[in-house]
Amino acid sequence: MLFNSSIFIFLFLPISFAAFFMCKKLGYGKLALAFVALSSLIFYGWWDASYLLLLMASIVINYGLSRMIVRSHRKGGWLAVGVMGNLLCLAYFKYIDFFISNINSLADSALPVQNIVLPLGISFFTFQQIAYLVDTRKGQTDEHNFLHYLVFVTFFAQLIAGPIVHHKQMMSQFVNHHKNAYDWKKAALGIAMFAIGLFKKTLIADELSPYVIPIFDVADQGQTIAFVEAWTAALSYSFQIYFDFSGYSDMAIGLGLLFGVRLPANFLSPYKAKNIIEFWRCWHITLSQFLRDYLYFPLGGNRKGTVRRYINLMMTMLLGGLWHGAGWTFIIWGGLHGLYLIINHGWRALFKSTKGSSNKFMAVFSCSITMLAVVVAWVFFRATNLSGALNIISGMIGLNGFDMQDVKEVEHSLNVWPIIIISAIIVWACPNSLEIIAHAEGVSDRKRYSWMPNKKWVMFIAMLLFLSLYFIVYRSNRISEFIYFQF
Amino acid sequence: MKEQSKPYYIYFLQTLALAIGLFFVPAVINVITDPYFIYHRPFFNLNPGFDGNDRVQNAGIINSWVADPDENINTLIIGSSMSENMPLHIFENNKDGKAARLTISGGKPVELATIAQHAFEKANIKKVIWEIYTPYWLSDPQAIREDSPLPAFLYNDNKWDDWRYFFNDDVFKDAVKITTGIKNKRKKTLEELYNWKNEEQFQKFSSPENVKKITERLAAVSPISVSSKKDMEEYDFPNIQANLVPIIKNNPQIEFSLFFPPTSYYSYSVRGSAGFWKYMAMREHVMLALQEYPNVAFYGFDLISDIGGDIGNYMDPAHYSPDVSMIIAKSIKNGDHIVTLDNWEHYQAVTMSNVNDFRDNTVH
Repeated sequence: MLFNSSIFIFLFLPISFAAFFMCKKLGYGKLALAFVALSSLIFYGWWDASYLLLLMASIVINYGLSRMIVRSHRKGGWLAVGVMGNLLCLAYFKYIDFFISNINSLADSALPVQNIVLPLGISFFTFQQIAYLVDTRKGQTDEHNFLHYLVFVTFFAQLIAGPIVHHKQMMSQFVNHHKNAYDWKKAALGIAMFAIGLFKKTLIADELSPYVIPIFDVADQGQTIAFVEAWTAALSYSFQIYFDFSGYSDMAIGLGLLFGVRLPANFLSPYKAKNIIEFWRCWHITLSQFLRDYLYFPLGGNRKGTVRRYINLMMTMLLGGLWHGAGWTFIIWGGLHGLYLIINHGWRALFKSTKGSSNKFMAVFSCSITMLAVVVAWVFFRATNLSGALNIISGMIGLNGFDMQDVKEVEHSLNVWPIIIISAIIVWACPNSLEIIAHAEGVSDRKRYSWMPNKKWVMFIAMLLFLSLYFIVYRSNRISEFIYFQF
Repeated sequence: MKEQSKPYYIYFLQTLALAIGLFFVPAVINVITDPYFIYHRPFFNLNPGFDGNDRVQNAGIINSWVADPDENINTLIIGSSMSENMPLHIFENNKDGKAARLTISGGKPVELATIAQHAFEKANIKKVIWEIYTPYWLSDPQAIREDSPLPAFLYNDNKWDDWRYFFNDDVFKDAVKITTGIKNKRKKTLEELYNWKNEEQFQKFSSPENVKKITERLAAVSPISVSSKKDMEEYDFPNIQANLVPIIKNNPQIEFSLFFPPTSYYSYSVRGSAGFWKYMAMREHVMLALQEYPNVAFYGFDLISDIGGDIGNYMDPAHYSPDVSMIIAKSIKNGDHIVTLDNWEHYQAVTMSNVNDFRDNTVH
């Protein structure tokens, strides 16, 4: 079930929250945590009960390995077993068909594709546990309680789509969880974050989606795409993925707060970034940090010279692209961002500057260039094949002409522009969700547009919730009228 | 509770309460207004009219009109868009009661069966005029239109699933239109409901340009030939057994007048021999399946060459004009153009001959 589904909002969440709250209120803090774990397993099993076994096996085995790392003299050996095991598991479920398809293409063979169903969230819970094993080997983990570990991995708020939570960020919050009374401030912030995220996902991302699909489908099938349609597709998708992913992260953070846990930030207005380095500090922050700490730094980071640094950056981004999906377009997307980062670092080194210009025109210009680079890369991310992506890119450049296309499937897509404009206004003129709650959390002095527990915010958040619920429930029950004759 | 927690606790409850309260407002408006009359007729004698969304509106007609004994509706017309112009008044008189049209555009047999069964359970129906058209030859008895399926939850006795009607965006939009008096395309009476007459389309279909296209298409196909006719056993029409026979069998008290709509001769011809004989076989299967039931009569109008052979009667290969609907209605009322298994061979032969003559006269 998804966070924006009726069954989650009206059934799962109220029951889970009610049970958790009652346990806390009656002083059964550990039981409350246990209930969170149980709810999370039910949440995961709802999708496919058979993969629940995989999740539990992964948790038990990794926990066992962490214990072995702590107690054994062969810590490195156990760590290697753990990391290799996790990666092999991920490789099998996520990449085996990709490898087979490519081998068949290269060697002209006919190896059977396995058609493996990808277990939900496997990339997330695998990476989280790898990080835990690595840090256990380094002696950087203090918390080893199994219940805390179980909740850390399975917590439904972040299980299937992140944020990728570091054990330090989360498990320490459980230590005194059972002693503390229910935190109403967190609950109030939680409902605000959840409402903002739900609105972003339901009313913006999901509304953009039907306009994106036809143009990309037509491009993937080989049709050339003209200028306006190409930009329509590229911009729509750029906003769709931002509002979808950041909305989901907001909901995750909101749900975490409802259950007394502060999950880390994942998006901090990435489209306001003035360069790619800044973009990657604001986009999918938890993944960037993971890749930096567990891939880029072990590869040597920037400690082995400039050339090696750029190689490390490119490798990290290529693997980051591959992590997103088993396909060449994802790898190309990663490679493009690797190239962007190399150019950015090179520019900085050349002009010996790490600070952006205070000139407003330059700021707008830098932001525009960064956004352009990001939008181009998103085209590859979204397309299902290389030729489809190139069709759209060539359309964006103007190589396919400027005349509107007479393709029935894409006619309707041009009606998306009001939503694109609204999305742009929200992205560039409004504070992001974390900025809104920053003052209440005590991390910012800014009061303007900051959330407060007052009537104005009650009405605003309630309206966001109402509109989202309206779209989820009322619009899903629409009764389509068949408006032209046939038998 | 600690004092510093109170404002947040109050905020939490107020936000939740307001959001939930707002969430129910459209549903409450839908309950009060009930734009499709699923639960009740309009309050305060307002008459917003009937909506053309037949798959939903028919449920309201059944619940609030057909089921109302004071309305005395005991005759139903069931079919597709081709039956939407069937005049109700032909089948009505003060003594015998009134009629209602429960047609659905693009409807499939399972949908017609669902609507009919629901109506029969609600009222004492005596007569049904039922259109037997091509979807009865579909291999899937559960086939529906995916883009506009029948909302089956409105045609059962389970009131709990009606929440989908009340928590419904389309219903709310109609409720707002009715409440605010915004002009809409609703029809005021059951007689005019679902009626259509698209003069422009009729003219376009019989225009010289289209006739030229028709001629070219007819020239490209061969005449209908008996040699293409298959044995009856080679055809399988599960829709008849699944969605027609049980209805007839379970309602011996109802007089069923099943009619075969007069498709244009042009349509018959371009289907080719295989399509023509399949259509005829489907009709014969219907008659064979229902021959044991004395409360069923069949009507066919393909022998009237002035109808099928005149392109001017059609706005497309199948949809005939309201004038043709009137002819059909009067014929059924008067018991003319009855088709039986005894005269079926003759019927097919004459139809084939008429179609081939039409093709020859048009092409040459």
